[in-house]
Amino acid sequence: MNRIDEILAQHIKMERSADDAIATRLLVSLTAKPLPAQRHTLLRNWPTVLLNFDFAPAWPRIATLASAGFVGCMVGFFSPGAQIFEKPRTTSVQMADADPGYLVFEPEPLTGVRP
Amino acid sequence: MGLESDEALMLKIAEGDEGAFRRLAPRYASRAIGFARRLTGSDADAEEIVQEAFLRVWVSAPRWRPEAAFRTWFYKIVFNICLNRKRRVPFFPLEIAGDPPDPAPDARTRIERDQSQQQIASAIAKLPDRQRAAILLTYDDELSNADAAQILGVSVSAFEALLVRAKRTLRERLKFILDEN
Repeated sequence: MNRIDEILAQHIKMERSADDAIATRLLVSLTAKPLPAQRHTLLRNWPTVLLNFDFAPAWPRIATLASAGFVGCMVGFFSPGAQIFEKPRTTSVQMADADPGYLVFEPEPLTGVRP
Repeated sequence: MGLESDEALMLKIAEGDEGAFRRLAPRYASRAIGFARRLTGSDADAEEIVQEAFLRVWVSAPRWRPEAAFRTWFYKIVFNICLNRKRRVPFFPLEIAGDPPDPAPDARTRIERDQSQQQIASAIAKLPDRQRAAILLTYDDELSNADAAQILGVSVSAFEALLVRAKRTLRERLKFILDEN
């Protein structure tokens, strides 16, 4: 240990008795007075709130009926054969020209003669 | 029954256990008083500062998270209150002020000490706040550099630089004492 380290450590140790006397006085005064209210975080009690909340329905029969209806709808909408969300299949005919006769009487490919 | 750790007591304090608070306070009262007293240079201020620090511990305990050691957290509170108090020194006209106040400890304590101890105390008291805190945390509270750096809110290398500067200054100021021995 360096000489300056020794001097500082020794000096600080010598002062500890004065610290102890003040600390004793402080602890007595802390004990004598009532402690202030603690500051809690807002979200501190949320798990307790959730645990205490009663999730059981007030009318069990209505809840059962509603649940069964909900399950039925889900099965109906999303079962493999369900087509409710699919686009309707329509066949569309595109006309190449405004004249429909052009389609009916198609010209001969080689000669270009119309029938 | 073994001694409860500071952190275990803090968890109880967070639940509002006053008994746990009264068991924890004596562990740090004396050291914190010493730290604050030598930092502010006043017994009365040190007592008020540490009392305020303990009350802050009690009030803020529900928000404390056991990620940092209690001791580091507590000393940080004490150090910050000391700095705030030093900044809040009221302004007086120069005529009223008279002689500049001696930052060394009270007269009663001074009388009890011999001359060289007074000179050491005075040399420490004249250091800048952060250098003084670095010396006190190292020699009084025997904290590691990492913990002390955390309390002062600086990096470990910055803390070591503070300590080196403080010791260099003290070596110069206490040269005659060092030469005597």
